[in-house]
Amino acid sequence: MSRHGRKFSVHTAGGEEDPEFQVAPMVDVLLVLLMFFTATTTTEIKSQMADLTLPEAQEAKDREKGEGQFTVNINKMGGLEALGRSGLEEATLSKLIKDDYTLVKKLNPNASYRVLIRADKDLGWEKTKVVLKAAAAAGVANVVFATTKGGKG
Amino acid sequence: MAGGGSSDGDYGLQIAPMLDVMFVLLLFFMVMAGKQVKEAELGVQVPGASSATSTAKSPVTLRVGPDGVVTFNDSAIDGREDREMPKLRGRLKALIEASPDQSVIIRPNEKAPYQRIIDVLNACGAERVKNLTFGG
Repeated sequence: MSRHGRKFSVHTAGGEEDPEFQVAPMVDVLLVLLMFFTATTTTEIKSQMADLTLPEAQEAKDREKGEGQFTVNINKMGGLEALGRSGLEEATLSKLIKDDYTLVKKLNPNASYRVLIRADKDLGWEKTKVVLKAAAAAGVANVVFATTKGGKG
Repeated sequence: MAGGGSSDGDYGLQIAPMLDVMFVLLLFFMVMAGKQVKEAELGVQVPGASSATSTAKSPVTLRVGPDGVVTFNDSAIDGREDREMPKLRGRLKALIEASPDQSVIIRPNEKAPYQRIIDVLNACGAERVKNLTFGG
């Protein structure tokens, strides 16, 4: 880019040695910040696509970034969503979990695997039970519930 | 951004409008990033063929009713509005101190409020219940 070397001059009282405002480094810093915020926002939105409000739990642990994780969203209407598909039934969900689990274990037999349930706080237990049964049928015993640490919805 | 051309056809890059746009974008993404809710998690082991274990101690059963009432081995404990569940925590603490491997089974009603079940899980997590599972 031809921006390097361009300078904005700032008037001072002396006039002999004009301090100059360097635009090029500022643009560099701004671009880096912009990239950082763009990347983080996009990643978060991708994992939180469903229309739901998580329940609060003060004693919850910070979220781990495990190797194998299957996220199931249960939206406000009670619909099951996973891997970009919505309105899933127990059998379909179980098959999806099993296929993903098999793939992860094939790539790395020692990889940890879990099912993350992100359900709306105003729902009943019925739909979550369906996910637990699907996970058990797929042979996955490790299930975690997504929450917030209170104060925020 | 082709402005700034001189008489001999030399085009210059206008930095000022580009900076304006970048500042707006930066502000937008900073505000969006600040609004993100940080997620946490509560873990549990689902009962299955691979995870079936026998425990010497008889398990404690926690039921959650459709109205949000929690029972500890069939006796009601803590008020429906009490999110912290101090009585349940006290009893779990005593149990875990006596036997760290004490198993706890949560049996929620299908109509039980999800937030209430998370409250129970939260209490179990706070008292470091290791053997925690869900029953039908």
